[in-house]
Amino acid sequence: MRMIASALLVLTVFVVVTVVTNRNRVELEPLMYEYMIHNFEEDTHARNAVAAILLNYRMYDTMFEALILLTAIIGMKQFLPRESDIQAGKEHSRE
Amino acid sequence: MSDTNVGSESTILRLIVGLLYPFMLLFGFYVILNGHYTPGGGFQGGSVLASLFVARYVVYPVEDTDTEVLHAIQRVFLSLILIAPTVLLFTGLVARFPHYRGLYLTTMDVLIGVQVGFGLGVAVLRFAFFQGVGKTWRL
Amino acid sequence: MVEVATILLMGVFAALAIHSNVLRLAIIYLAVFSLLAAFLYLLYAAPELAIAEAVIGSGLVTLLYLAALKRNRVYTIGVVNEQQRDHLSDSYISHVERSKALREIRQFFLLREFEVQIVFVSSALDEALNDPAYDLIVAEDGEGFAAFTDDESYAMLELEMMVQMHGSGSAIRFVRHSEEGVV
Repeated sequence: MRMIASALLVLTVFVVVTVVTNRNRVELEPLMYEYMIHNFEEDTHARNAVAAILLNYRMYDTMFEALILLTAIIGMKQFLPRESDIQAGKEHSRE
Repeated sequence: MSDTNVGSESTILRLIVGLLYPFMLLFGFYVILNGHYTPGGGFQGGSVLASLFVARYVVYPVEDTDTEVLHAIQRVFLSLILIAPTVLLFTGLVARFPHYRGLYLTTMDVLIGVQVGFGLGVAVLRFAFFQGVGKTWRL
Repeated sequence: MVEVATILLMGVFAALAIHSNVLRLAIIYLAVFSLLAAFLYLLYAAPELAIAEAVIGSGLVTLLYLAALKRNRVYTIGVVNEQQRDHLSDSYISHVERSKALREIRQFFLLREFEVQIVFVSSALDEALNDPAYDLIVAEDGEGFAAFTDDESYAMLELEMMVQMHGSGSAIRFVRHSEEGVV
């Protein structure tokens, strides 16, 4: 019973979201990717369009992606302590 | 796993990883340095470099790499990643000297590659050598 | 044609990873799944994603899962009820999950960083006791829950001691059994 109810709920949400997004679809007029595909070689001297976009047109994306990686690793270091860190923390709290 | 006795790993694994290790290094640097000509780039090459740490851990699971040093290098490279585009790209220096556009792309690829490689390596090593409070409970 | 075959094979390996009882095998199936995904990216002309997926999905993540599996083992508890075993209802399952005895066992394994997995067994008690798939058998009868232990298991002795230390309010009884039967 509970499984059928949850399946119906998921199906309803899926249908509603699909219908609403299809009704309100807007065509984005100035197509950015056409400009990028035609001009990336003159603009950035890269022969690989992905590299041109990542390192020139969308540089902010790449910068903050690197920041996200650093944040994730800092969080990981906080939650997975080493044996020496645990010892150091105990001594620190004793003082 | 500090109690794993070294040498108990299989000979096949040790030989194959030892044989492939320089080629993995070469492939990683190839992917990074040719990021703007062929498919690849900083992130992909960096993760290939991180897989070197994994290969080393699989063959020789002893904690003798100081992850703090790797993390410090990663932080330095992150600051370089944040500084270099701000100074070179956003001020229009690269657009003014079109001759150095390729050099700029390669520099950014190398910076991102080293940052991602050391970052993922630190993550994997920290996770693999994690010795939490749970170790004291034996069952 | 090759794309369709790869997608179908990915579905097969995903189902295998979900349905395999051995977690180590499930990890290997996931690695193969990632490798097939990388191949699919290559077929759809996205070689950059293919490199990243092959290295991260089947290299680094597989090692992380294996390291996690080495630390965190799964403890399977089989729950037997002789009367209810033909018609298992939702209300009975929630009654067992909320009972004091199961909470005490969960708490015990939580302290030791073990993952507890509760399976409702539909076979008889004797068969369940001899089944190597279950690490601990808990049976419910008129008087409450009884945990079946044998002397070889160090963990069970510790659990028994912990329950006794909690006092007389404990909800679990311990029954010793050996190969021949219940003592």
